[in-house]
Amino acid sequence: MFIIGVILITIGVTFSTLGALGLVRMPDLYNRLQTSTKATTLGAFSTIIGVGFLNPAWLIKTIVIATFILLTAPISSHNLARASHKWGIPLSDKTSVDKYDSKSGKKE
Amino acid sequence: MIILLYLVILVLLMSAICAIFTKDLLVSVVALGVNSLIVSALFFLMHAPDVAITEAAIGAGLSTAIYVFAIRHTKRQEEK
Amino acid sequence: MKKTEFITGSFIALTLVVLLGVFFFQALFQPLYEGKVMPVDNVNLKNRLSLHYVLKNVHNASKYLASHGKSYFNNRELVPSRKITFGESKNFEEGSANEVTSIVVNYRGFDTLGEVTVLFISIIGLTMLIGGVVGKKLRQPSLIVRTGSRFLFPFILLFGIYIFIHGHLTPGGGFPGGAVIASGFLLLLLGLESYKFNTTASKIVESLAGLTFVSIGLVGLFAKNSFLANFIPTGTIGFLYSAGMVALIYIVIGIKVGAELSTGVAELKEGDEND
Repeated sequence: MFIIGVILITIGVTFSTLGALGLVRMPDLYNRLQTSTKATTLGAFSTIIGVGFLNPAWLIKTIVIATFILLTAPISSHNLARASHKWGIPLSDKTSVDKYDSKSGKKE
Repeated sequence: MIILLYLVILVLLMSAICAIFTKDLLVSVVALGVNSLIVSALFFLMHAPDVAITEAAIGAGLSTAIYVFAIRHTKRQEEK
Repeated sequence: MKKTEFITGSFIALTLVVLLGVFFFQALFQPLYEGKVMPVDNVNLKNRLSLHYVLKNVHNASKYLASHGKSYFNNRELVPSRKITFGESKNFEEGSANEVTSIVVNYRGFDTLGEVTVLFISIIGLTMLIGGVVGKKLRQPSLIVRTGSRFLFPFILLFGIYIFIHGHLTPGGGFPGGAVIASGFLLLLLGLESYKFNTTASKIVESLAGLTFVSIGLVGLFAKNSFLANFIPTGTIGFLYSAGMVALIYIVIGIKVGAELSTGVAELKEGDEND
């Protein structure tokens, strides 16, 4: 139990640090959203499950919280990306294709 | 612990200043929601978790939605 | 409105006002227990539960008490003499493990009734002012948001119900639970385009909850001679069926606050959608 919990917490911490690194490194709003969503979903998810394995009395509550995070974080980041695309925040220079824009019928 | 408290208070001040000085009303409302979220974190750090739950649900959730509904009946930009 | 309905309604209101007036007038002339705290159920002041919990938990008061001794309280009588163990101690004045709940609902229950009334009146004013205004239409939410909000709504409802059912054990209570339930309804209103909030059902639920609150208080008045007195036996500290009346009143408050807040938000949203 203890070893599983520690392994899960280390996975979560590494994903959180990678997400923080991506927030600095990425050139674009959409890329930054992608990295930060990975940090919140996988990082927070595995950290919370790991805490539940470390203290087995909390396991059911932590599983409920983790499923809640797993449902909310991708939906909110998807909606943020959609709203910023409609608002007209520009993509970075290296972007080659923008399928969402061509699908909605606009030019450029 | 005290350093964390001062950092939270600094972010709180920044969001409050942003809420006052922007010309865009929607940005101001979102800054106000961020402000009340940080206030709820501050309540949790000061050992009052029930007040923190109430503040997060009402301040960051419901009142922000009510402000947005009200802004959609008026103009979004502030006039000089 | 018909004239007969108006006459009967005003007659009922007049009788209620006269009854409350008699109650208050009678309370003015009761003797005031000569400087002591008014006993709820013949308790010893040493065993006041809220004092124990305040000394035990918040800001390390017990350590401070052990180091400073008598100077913390001038009155030596107030220092707790008996130890309280979680899950074993029985038959205290309150029986609720959360001291905020025992103060808000039992010692200041009448105040809580006033707060709920203030919230009710403010929601009435809001819906009267802004209820029928026509505005622009909302943008259609995407498929992911629609499906996700449909999945998320039961989780949020479960969390709110958990908060106000465990109000006497863990931090939280009626007002936070009601606010969480209202935010769940707000998510449905924003995320699902086809969802229509049933306003009449929520109004009925809300007024039934208010009626239950007042009738619990009246039962306390007839059983223990004091409005909102605790008439159910308080069990062991820390169990779900403890705390007597406190748990019942918090369930009622949670349902009432949730119905009120979600009605207010839904009325605002409906005014937008008419266009």
